[in-house]
Amino acid sequence: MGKLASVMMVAALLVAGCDDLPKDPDQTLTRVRRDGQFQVAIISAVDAGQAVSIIRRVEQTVGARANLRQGHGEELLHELEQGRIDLVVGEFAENSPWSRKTTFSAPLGGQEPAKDQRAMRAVLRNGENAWIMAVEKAVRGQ
Amino acid sequence: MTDRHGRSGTIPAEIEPDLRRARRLEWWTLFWTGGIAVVMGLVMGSSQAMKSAWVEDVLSLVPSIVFLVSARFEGRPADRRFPFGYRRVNSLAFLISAVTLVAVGGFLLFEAGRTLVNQEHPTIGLATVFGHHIWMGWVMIAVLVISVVPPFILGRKKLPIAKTLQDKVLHTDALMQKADWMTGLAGVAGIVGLGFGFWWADAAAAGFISFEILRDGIKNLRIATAELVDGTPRALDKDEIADDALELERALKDRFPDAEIQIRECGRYMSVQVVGADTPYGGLIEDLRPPLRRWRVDQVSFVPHPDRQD
Repeated sequence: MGKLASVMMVAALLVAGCDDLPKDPDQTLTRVRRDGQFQVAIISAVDAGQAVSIIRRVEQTVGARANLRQGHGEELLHELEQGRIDLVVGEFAENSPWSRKTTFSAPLGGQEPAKDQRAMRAVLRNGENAWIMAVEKAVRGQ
Repeated sequence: MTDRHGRSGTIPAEIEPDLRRARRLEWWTLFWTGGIAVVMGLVMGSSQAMKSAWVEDVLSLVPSIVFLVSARFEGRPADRRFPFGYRRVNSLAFLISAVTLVAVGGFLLFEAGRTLVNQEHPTIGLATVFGHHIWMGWVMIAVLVISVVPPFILGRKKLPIAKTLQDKVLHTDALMQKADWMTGLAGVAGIVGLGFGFWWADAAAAGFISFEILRDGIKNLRIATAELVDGTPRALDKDEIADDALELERALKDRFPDAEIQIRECGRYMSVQVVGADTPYGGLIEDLRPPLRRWRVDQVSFVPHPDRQD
C-alpha cells in the first residue's frame, strides 16, 4: 500500500534530519552565523536596558554580534518583513495585527499578560523557523 | 417494504444488520473525528496549517451526522403529512454530504492558493514539551500521524457496507475519510518540507490533495443532483446509470413491451412507474424484481397511458 510506503519514508526522514530541522527559507540563521553579525532594531520609547539584555542573550546563543539601532515601530516592522532587519524588540500585545504578519516571541521575562496587554518581545520575520527557534530559546532562557 | 396500504415504512430485513453496523461506525467516526478536532484545537496555536486541518476535520463530521439523522428518519412509517414515507431523507443527506465534500476540497484549494499567491512563509516555532525545547513541527507531525489512523480504518470499513446498503451518504462519508487521511499525510509531508526550508511545501501538498477531493466531491454532487431531479438511479461511485436499474428496466421492458419505464431513486430504494400498461394481478410484481438486491425495488406504479380514451 502506498500509504505504508509514505509513512516509512516520513519515518526515515525524521530519523535522518532530526537535528538539522528546521531550516530557514532565506537562510537567516546560517547567514548570521557565517557573518558573525545580525541587524537588530529597538523600537523607540521602550526600556532600552531590558531590550539590550535580551539582545546580549541572543548574541551568546547564536555566537554573533548585534548591530543595534533605534527607529519608529511601523517602519522597522516593514523592514523586518522585507528581511533587512533580523530582529526587532518592542512592546506588543499578543493579539496585535502584527502578530500575523510577523512572528512574536514569548514576552521577555516570562509571564504572558492578557491578550490585549503590551509586553516586550522579540519580533521576527515569518517563516525563518531556525532563526525564530534560536531567538525564542534565548528569550525563554533555555 | 410497504404496509397494507401500500405505503413505504420499515427497513427491509435483508439490510437491517448492515444498517446497524453502519450506524455504529458513524458513531465511532463522530467520537474519533470529534476527539481529534478537540486535540488539534488545543495544540494548533496560531499555525495556519493546523487551522486548515482543524476546519477540515470539523467539516468532515457533517456526513456522519446527516447519515445518522437520515437513518433515524428512514425507518419511520409513512403518515398523513408524509404519505410517501421518509426514505428520501437519505437523498437529502446525500446532497448535503456531497456539498460538504466539495466545500472541503474548495477550502483546501483556496487556502493553499492564497498562501502561494501571497507568498506567506508559515512560521512553525518552538514548543516546550515536558521542559524540553523542540521544534513545534515534530509535535504537529505526531498529532497528524495519529489523526490519520482512525479515518483510514473507518473509511475502509464503510466502503463495503455502503455497497451492500447502496447508501450514497455512507459512500460519500467514506470518501470524506479518505480526504481526511490524505490531508493528514499531506500535512506531514508539508511540515517536513517546511522543515527543510521550503516555505511553499505545506501549501503545495495541501493544494495537490485538494484536487482529488474536489474531483470526488463534484462527482458526488452530480450524482446527488441527478437523484433529486428524479434521474434514473446512478451507480454508487460514478455518474452512470446503475446496473440494477438497467436490469430492472430490461425485465420490465420484456414484460410490458409497449409501456414506458421510468425509474427513479428514493434514497437507497428504487421507485418505478410503468406508463401505459394495465396493472397486473397479485404476485407479478414480486416476479419483476431483479435477482440483484431485490429489496431496492420499493414501489412499482402503473400509470394509464395519457392518450388512452376508455
